Amino acid sequence: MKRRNFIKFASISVLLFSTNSTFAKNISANTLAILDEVYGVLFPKTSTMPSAKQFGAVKFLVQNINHKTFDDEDKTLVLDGTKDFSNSFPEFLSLSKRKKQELLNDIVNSNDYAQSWISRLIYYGIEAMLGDPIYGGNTNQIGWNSINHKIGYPRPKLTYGQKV
Amino acid sequence: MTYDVCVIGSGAGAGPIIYELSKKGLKVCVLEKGEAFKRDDFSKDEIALRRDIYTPSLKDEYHTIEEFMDNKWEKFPTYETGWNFWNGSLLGGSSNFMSGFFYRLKPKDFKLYSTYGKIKGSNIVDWPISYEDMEKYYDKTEKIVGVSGEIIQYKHAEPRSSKNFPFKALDEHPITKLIDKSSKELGFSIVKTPRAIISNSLKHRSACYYSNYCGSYGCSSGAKGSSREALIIPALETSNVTIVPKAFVIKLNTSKDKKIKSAVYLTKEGTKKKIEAKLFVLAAQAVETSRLLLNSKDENFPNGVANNSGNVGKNFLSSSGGILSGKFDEKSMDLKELLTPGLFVNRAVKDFYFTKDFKGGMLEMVFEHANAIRRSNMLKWEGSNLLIGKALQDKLHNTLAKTKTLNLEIFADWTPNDNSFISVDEKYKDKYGIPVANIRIGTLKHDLEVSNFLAKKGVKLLEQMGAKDIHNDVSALPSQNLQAGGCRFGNDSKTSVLNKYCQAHEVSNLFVTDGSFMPTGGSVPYTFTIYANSFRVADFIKENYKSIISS
Repeated sequence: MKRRNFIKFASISVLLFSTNSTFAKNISANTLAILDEVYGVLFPKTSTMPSAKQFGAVKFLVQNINHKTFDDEDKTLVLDGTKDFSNSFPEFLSLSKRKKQELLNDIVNSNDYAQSWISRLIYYGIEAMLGDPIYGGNTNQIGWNSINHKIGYPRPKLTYGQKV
Repeated sequence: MTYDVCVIGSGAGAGPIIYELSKKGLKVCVLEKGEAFKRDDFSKDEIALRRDIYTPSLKDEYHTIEEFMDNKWEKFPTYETGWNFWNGSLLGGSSNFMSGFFYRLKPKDFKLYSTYGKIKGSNIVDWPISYEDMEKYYDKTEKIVGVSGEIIQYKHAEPRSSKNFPFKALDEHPITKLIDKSSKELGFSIVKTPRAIISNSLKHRSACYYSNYCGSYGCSSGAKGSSREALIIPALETSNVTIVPKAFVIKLNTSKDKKIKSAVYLTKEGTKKKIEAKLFVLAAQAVETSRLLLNSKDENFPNGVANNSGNVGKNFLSSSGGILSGKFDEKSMDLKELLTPGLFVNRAVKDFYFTKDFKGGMLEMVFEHANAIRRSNMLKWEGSNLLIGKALQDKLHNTLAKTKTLNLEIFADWTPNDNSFISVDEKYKDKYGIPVANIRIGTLKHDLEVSNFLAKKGVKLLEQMGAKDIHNDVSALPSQNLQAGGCRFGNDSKTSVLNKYCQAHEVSNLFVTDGSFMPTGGSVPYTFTIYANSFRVADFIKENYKSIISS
């Protein structure tokens, strides 16, 4: 169990420190590990769509959550919601894949708080899947390709509409 | 330095003034609240768009929306609701982001009171000018800003002095064949949409390249006729124009002779500065224009500049209507054709613009915007439940990769009334301490009835086309990007703010040229009429500049 958590911690830490060191000060490795697993349930790989890991859901969050344009209330909901989820279900990381799916299916529409938290996670998951790869998600345009999306040109040279 | 002209704002109401007066040789200073982005700064970045990077943060600068709830009017700050009434704080204003469907008003739109009489509870009046007065300026706008399209004769078509649009129609999406066939079967006229998007290059502007990301995005070829591309860039060539970006005008100072002496503005850092000019043109978009006048109180104008009559802010207009939508898939038409990106639908239903008994409106057909993030986020819901896992992924794929949604936007007149206005309230201030604009959005039942009348026609058309999942979302709420009124023009200084040349009755060196002047707005987007009227006012200023500043 400890080893399992350690592996998750280690793999996400590499990602974390390679992309945004400021973020590391604000978020625990446990929160990241939980987000990684929750996203795996929200966006599983299917015959037509990529998994959250493939399109980089957590990497996207790491890279963008501290930007000034990221909604403050959303940031709080994403991070505090994850902590509260962890406190409510401390065994989550050790559950089997099927049990994780069952747990999230049970809670998603069970109360407003859980629904709001997951709703925000899905929204930023969608940004990661279908936003420009310049933001750290949509790895190799895997999200766009999965829905045969015709992108617009020019693509951004800089993030958040900064002047060229 | 004292400029000949100071223009506050740089969107559709400001562009023709800047263009015409700088070419006349007048020294023009433009105070723009936002940044001066250039064409190369724009891209098709949906995340940037969703972060509202071209509008102020609502936490810093907001509006209050006043709605009638539980038998009383209640104000809701927009930082609580996210309902954003800023539409583009940047050089060129919101004209950078328009979809650009450019319909003229029709002759009877200028005399709604004479045509249909007064609706109970309304403040409908005729305009002090006629369609004939405006026609040459519509024509001028088509040529200078650039409008593409094909002239279609139908029952309510307005007279024109030019036989054709100056630019040929943009390429059409294959679904137009299905629309046209179904329209014919129902006996509807086929009306093709004119657009302020050019199909051939014009000077520094390249033709449309069908980017698939048009409305809500800045144009990367210059084809879209934004005030920045079509008017300000050419005006800068005169060397008579000074642009001051990031200049938020908070007050107009007046002198004892009741003229504007200077405009006070804040820089992004909050430093107060001042510009002096002989003549001022205000075009900050209707809500902010009324706000600035109402906030400019002094001993000459204790209720705000040009507001000794108490008319500033009254009779705000937006557009009533809402939206219909229907889904199309491979059973409707060849999937590859259906999913063709970028091409325009360019169709409208305008047979019901006027009826025998009441003013109707129109239905504009447009595909749901390409924005994959926005569309996907709506798909996560199944009623009030969230979808997750395979169910979510399958829905995303089956909808986005295999269907397309056609929207019919309903445009009905927003009937002016006593409960539709702009005001300011000392209780609600922005981060600079300036009272924000309050927008009371009262509508008459009549407007909703007209929208429902139009919606029935639209649903018929969608059914005839074989659309699935037809949604009817008729609404009396305003469209935040369609703003007019608040400083209506008229011949009587007791009941209007501006005279027929959009010159303030009470302040001879102040003109207002955004949509604020409109007493009624028609059943079309306002931008074309704002451009045309601004060219008209520019002509008046050019011909009378010396007498205006010396009066």
